[in-house]
Amino acid sequence: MATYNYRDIDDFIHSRVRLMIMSFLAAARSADFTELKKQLEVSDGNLSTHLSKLEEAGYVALSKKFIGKKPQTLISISAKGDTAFKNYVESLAEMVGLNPKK
Amino acid sequence: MAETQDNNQNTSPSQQAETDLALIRSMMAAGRKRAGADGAHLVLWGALLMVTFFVQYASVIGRLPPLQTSLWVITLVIGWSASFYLGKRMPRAECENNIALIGYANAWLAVGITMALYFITASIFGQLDTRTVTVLSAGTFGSAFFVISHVLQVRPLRFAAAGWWLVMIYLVQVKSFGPEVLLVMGISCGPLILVPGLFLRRLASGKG
Repeated sequence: MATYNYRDIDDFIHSRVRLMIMSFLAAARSADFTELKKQLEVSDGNLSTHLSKLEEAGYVALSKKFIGKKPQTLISISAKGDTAFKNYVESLAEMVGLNPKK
Repeated sequence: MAETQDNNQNTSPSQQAETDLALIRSMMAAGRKRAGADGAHLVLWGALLMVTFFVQYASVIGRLPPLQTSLWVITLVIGWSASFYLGKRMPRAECENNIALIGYANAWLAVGITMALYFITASIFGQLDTRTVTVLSAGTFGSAFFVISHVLQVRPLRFAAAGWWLVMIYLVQVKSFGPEVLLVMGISCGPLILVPGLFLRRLASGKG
């Protein structure tokens, strides 16, 4: 059986909430805060904390703007985040015997 | 919510990896739905073009008074106005930085611009040719479906692309360009525009 070496796993992504955020954004490319909160079923504070970590790693970009009179935070996946996510998925796939790295 | 690295005390690493992959798959599926177009424009244009071709056919065979050019002007005005309204209704946040939606919208914008440019120029210079406009529309529809099947990652849309290219081949080779061509175009708009639009609506609502 292959070993699951956590030292090889991206710590910024390896959290359930952050993994869900990155997976959603990898497909959707961007989402607003409220939409993401609804998808993940987490609290404002929890989501903010995880987004800050991903932003700190440069995996997502946050932009704030007003739609009419309502403030809105738009979260987009960055190129760095895209690459990190792909690498993370490849590591998992390798772990379960799919798409092994040559 | 518990962290992934903290909740794998009772599962083997590979089981944990499988669970994570399943979570990734489900979230990416949710993300793709968000990124996808809702097909409203296709339903609108599919129905509109179908009706227009059938009305034109009825007009050409004498069941309705002659109204060829005015009919298409009305169709284009209704279609563009409704498309603009549908576009305005969509939340800006859903469009910005959304490559799939940008690709989808621009593929159809390119079709609209091509057809409008041909229609206006040919009308001004008296060169409006039924065969050219139908071949051009079938070819550009096929190209647009081919592009959106890739950007939306909805493979069945390739059948619509192939369908329109077959229609184009038929239109190019047909010897006599009679009223039956209008019937072919009207019927084609059903399975090749309206149905793909309804299919996308179903995907967008999560029933697909």
